[in-house]
Amino acid sequence: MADTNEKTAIGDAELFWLAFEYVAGELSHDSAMAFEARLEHDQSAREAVAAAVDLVASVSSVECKLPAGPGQLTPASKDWSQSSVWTVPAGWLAVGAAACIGLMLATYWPADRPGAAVARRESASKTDDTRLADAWAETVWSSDGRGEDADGSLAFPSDDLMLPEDVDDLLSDEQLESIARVGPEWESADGELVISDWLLEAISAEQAAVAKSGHREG
Amino acid sequence: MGPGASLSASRNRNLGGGSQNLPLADDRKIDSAVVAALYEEHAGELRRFVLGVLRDHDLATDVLQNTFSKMVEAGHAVRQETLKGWLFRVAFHEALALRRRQGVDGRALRQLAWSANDVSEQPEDLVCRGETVERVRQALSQLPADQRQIVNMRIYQQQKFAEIAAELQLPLGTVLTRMKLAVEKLRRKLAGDE
Repeated sequence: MADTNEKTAIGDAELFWLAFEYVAGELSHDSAMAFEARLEHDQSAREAVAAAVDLVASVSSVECKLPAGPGQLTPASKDWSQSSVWTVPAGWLAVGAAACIGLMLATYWPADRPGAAVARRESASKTDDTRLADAWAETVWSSDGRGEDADGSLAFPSDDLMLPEDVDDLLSDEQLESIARVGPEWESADGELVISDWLLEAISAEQAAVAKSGHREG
Repeated sequence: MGPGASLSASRNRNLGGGSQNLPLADDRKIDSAVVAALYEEHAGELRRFVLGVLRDHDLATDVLQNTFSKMVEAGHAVRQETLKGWLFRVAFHEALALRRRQGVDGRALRQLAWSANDVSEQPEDLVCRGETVERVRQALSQLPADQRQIVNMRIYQQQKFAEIAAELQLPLGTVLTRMKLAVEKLRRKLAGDE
């Protein structure tokens, strides 16, 4: 009895696979004709076709998230949260968030609030933060669309931001060395150092702050 | 209570059990309530079957209408226990005839995109559909990665098995075996066997 059930199950599976191949258009012309001849009189084959269509329709309506593999493409109905935009290094996001918070604090800090005098005294250094944030924002959200990919999604500074030719005059040897130590992501394919404008601005601001504090101490 | 429930009740009242012919409204035609009840019971599966043959929603709708029109005209001669088979057979003949008339080449419609909007209009069926989709989603997530990859490439990316084999540099037989195993698991899940 169990043997009969097993044979029936195997028969069902084979029939369903045949129906799936027919529905998917994977059968050869002769095989498809033979299967249609069977559909003429075999009700179980007809129901298998209906079930195959049901399965394909159900699977089609499910978003399939697959692990990345060699030669594997992403599904057409790609989830936005799986976009490569969100896989940029977290460091960029952290720096951006910090700069935005700094910008908001500098802009909306109440002037008559207790401690405002202290805040005003620190405004010189806040200005540096603001400059840094502005420079970063200009880099990312440039009006020429450089901040967006072709499909309109958010993009981050890319390789077209190259170090100015007179970088040796702008930065000290130690600063250049520290930038070079950051890692290969700062290098273009040909090994040339790549650095964005906002980072240069940040280094300039740091230089200015050091100079001011040295001046006050002096 | 929706129309479906009243139709089912009508069908149960009108059709009863046992082997007998369908009740008639007059000497030649079947009672419209019975037709409506039969439509409710079989139209979904019948439509999917015709869709599998024609791969075209509009043509499948035409075939479904023709099939039930024929049932109204000639269904009185059909015994109840063979009614489902009769409907499928008539629908199949209608589909083949329409395919010949339209010059639709089934082999040319190999992509599976036509199946994507195969959803019922009935709200209660949509609920069932949601449950089915959830079951399939679970079944997909439980598939081994190599099988899921083939399912993805065949159904989502509409690639033929031969193309998948070439892209993955696998024998065609391996691709077919993986897809066959995946399809069987999904079928069992869909049928509620697992």
